[in-house]
Amino acid sequence: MISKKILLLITIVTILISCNKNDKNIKVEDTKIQKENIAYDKAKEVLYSLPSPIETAMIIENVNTKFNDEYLLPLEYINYYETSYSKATILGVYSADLSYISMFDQQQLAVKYLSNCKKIAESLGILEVISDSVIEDMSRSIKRKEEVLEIITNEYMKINSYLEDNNRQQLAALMVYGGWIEGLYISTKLVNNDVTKNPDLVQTIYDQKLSLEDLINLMNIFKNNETIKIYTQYLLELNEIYKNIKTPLTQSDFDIIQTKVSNIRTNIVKN
Amino acid sequence: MKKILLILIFALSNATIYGQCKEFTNQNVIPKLNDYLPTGKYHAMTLREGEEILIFKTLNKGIKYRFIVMSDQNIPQPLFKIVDWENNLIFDNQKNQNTNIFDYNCPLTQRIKIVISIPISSNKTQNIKSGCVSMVIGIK
Repeated sequence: MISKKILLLITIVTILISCNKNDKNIKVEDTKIQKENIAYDKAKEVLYSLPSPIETAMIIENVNTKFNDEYLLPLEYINYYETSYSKATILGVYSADLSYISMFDQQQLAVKYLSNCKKIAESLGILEVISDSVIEDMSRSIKRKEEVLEIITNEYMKINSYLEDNNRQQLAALMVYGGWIEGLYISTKLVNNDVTKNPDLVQTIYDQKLSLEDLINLMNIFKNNETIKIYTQYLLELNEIYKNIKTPLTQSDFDIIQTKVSNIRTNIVKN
Repeated sequence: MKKILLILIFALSNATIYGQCKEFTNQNVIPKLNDYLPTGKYHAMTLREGEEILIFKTLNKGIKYRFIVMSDQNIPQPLFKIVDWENNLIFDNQKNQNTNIFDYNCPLTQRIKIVISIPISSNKTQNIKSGCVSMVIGIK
């Protein structure tokens, strides 16, 4: 008798939740009109939405840069990583490389990096992402750039979602960390040691100080984890550098940032 | 025995609700991105009437963003506001026909705060309800 009631209750809950609310689909644009009072303590949860690798690649593409494969993490490095923490971080790095490659329409290279992402994801126990058919299809037929970007974004979202659903939020955070550093690393390399050549690109590097604060806050959620604590320290050191510089970046300001980012990236890659 | 059964029911219903929340996002929210690419992560969770969440995000100059905030039928439609770092209002869906979609062509790189709240339904004779709330951000 009790089990029948339970079943009925679960069925009702399921039906109610799966129903879709009638929504309005109106495009609007608005402008700043007034000051708002935002009370932090009222919020049940405070969340950080970090730029995805595709967003970072889009930023790089928007400032008239050229593709350069020298700055990618070599494919063969995949075999160097043994712990789940290093694998998750490198998955972020390869995802950033994959996004950069795809944004610049290098489909055949994208297939190779996508395969690497699949291998690392599988070694982390994430089996239901990046199916063989997706990789085969991409290697056989030339696709529009938008199609490739959509595939990559969806697979990245599935990986992120899998990690968070399975109580592996720390690995999800490390993946974001690896991707964020790789995006900034590629940007600094594309400057080619001359801040005068592409001021817009240099400005985007300065602007990353804003999302860096969100990344630090995200990493701080897991500060009890020793690996994340060390990585957060690197980010705090980078943040200190950013705090002491102003836009437009001088060559020496840029050099300091580039050196720090390179050091952090080297640390990730060699771990 | 009854206690164990109740705990099991609670755990099961929580898992069911979360699963349904994901399903709701995949079926109803993500398709509204149209030609925008998802930013790689969505926020889907159960909220009760009267509760609110705060999301920090950095928007980048030159990228077009689409914000979609939706809830299932169990709770009133969410209110959402977007403000810049100095709390200047960028968008308030209450002032825009309660739309659940906001398209924004970002003029400068800036940090924003997104506040999503669930209003308390006018019928106070009923218990406070909870339901799935989902936010997806798209870019192009």
